[in-house]
Amino acid sequence: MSPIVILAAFFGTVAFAILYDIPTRYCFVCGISGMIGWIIYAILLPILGNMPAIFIATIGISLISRFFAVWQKCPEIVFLVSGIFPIVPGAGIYWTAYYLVAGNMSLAADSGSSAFKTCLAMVLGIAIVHELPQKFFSFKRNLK
Amino acid sequence: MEKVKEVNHILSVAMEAGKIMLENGAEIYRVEDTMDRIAKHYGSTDHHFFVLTNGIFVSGEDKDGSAFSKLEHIPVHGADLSKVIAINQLSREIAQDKYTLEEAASKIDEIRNIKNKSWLLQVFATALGSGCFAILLDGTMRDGIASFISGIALGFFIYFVFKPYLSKITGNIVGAMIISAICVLFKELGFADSLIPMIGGGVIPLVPGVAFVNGIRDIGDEDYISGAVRLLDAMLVFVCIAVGVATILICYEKIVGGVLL
Repeated sequence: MSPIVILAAFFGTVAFAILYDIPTRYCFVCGISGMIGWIIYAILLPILGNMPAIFIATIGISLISRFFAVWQKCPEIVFLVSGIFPIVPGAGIYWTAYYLVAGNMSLAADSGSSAFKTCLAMVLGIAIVHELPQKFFSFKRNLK
Repeated sequence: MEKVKEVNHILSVAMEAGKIMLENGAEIYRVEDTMDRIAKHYGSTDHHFFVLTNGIFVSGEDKDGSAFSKLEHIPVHGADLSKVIAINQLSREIAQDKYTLEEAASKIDEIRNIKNKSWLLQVFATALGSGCFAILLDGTMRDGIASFISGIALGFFIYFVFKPYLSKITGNIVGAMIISAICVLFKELGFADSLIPMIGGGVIPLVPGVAFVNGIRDIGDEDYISGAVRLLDAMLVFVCIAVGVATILICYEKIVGGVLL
């Protein structure tokens, strides 16, 4: 994992923060959440395979987004939407289209369903963290 | 009579706030919660909100039994999260008793008119996204630069043609075609190494992140209708992108006889 790739994850996420009109003061934090998500994914991918890596990376991004949301006092969707982008299956879309073109329907179905499974792993990750009660994340306020 | 007018006014202000949040990509739960908080704070006691992806229904009743109801259709729009953040902040300040109802209404008007970031910045961000994601998908530096340049073309297309004139289906197919065509051109001219990272990264700005994430969260909150609609919307866009890419690849393979890998 070269530093260039990590920088690419950071700036790619910031680019999406800009596209969604997120105020400039949050853009840096958005970039951090995308970068951490990508690092988790890249480390786990060779160990666990695609779906578990995506799943755990999504959980990581969602947790970070909730902490950032409490810390910055703004909706967590801001950090979650941009942070999730580096692990979206862009290559999966390419492969599905490629096999469709090549006329290889079984491989097209394979790569299409694997892109779909990646989406499902992201769904599970987001949904699980979403169910955690809010008080886990507002520990600072409880201390006061 | 005076009292009825007041409930009218309170619920209209709450609805206006909810409308801005919904059309700019907030979750259903957050919209309902914010509207409820605003209405309660200004003293409405008996009111109901029903929020869907593209509509808000409000009804309220006063103590003397006069009823108020309103329905508003909200077209599915882009995602401008700065407005969601601003309304969220406003509702916190309202809860802290900082504004009267009139002040709150004028604040909401101000938020509606927040300007988007300039087109130059948006085009640049599209290109930066394309370039960075090409590198993330194991592309070389040259692939990244080629993807960045095709991202500039995509940015101009999204900002000047797609958003003002085209429907979602046509826009996404044509957008994916533009990206693929330029990437194939770069490959043929020998400026880039591999099509997979270039196209896979290049189409990422078209991916409907807000619809996808919100769809999941709405289903998590048991707002099944809205969640299903949003997920369907996201899946449709994914399919459109794949169709656009496939169209160009077919032309490339059949007409030019290029090797796709």
